[in-house]
Amino acid sequence: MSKLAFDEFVKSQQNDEREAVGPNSAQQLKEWLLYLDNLYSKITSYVQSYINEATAQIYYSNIELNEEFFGAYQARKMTLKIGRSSVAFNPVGTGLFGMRGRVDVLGPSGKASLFLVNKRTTNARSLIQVTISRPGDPPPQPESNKKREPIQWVWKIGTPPPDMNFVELTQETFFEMILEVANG
Amino acid sequence: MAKRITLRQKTLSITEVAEYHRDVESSLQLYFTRNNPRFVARFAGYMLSEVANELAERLIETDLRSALAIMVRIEATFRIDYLQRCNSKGADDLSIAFRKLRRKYGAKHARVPLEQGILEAWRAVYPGTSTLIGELSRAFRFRHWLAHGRYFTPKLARKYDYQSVYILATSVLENLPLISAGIV
Repeated sequence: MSKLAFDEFVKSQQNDEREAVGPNSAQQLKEWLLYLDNLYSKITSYVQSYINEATAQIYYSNIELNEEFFGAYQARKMTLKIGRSSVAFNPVGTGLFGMRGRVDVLGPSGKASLFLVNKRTTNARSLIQVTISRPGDPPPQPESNKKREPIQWVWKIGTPPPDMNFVELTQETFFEMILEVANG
Repeated sequence: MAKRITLRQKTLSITEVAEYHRDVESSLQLYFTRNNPRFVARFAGYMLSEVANELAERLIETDLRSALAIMVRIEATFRIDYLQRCNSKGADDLSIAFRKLRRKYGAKHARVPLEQGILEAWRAVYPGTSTLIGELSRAFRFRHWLAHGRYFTPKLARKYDYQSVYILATSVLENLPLISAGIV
């Protein structure tokens, strides 16, 4: 009995491990770092006129992230300096439930987060949809039979819990977020 | 005959945990600025960078505590659902599976393991929940690490913190037909 239970345990751990690691981890990591670069480019374009006037500066540094999927790796952290205020864009990682990545935005007056989510996602409730069916129920329509559109991953500003709404990242919403974290 | 547990009529919902977290975070942000009337007395001899570092440490600690509060709330939700289904003697597959568990583990409800008992029954009865339950089981490793004093390095498949745990909890509560008797 205990050998059987142990066999089951060993098997379940293998399944967990396979689910967790996945076959394309190198590609996933590359994509995540590319999405980060795209975010920083977008933000730079929002503040470009201030950079030109030398009233704002952008700096980069490397930080080490450690995720079970990929082990330790270097990711770029961006700092936006506006006069005396500094706002740091700290990448959190890509191995997050229901999304492809998160960057925490830390300023002297508070914190906000940018989420890399499905373009259609508007709040935390719509991140995951589960179909509840019991054994014996007719199987749900296979995904392959449905018209599947590829997921478009976009950066959105997430309001903090409990609301957790995901707002489109535009120059206007970006400025609002910076005022919130840097100016209170 | 299993002894019935008396359920508390008022416990913190995850929304209330989130509201509490938001208020504590805002209070800390304020406390570590010169707007705090006791700032000079509290931080005499500090360099500004030391004040900022201490604030960052407090915010990380608050984040972890709130994550634990969310995880234990989720555990309680599953255990309340288990007790309600056992006591109501319902004819649905999950209630039947839970009554089998109760016979196996006897009167002490706390002995029924959450992950290998209650969550496994959910997976078996509602196969569509398997991925979500798998995510939750993995997140419980983070919960165990927090609850057991963080004295070891946890082996976690994902990056967990307050926000990611809140999103997972929202998905679970939104998607699973949990019976909570209006107290969760």
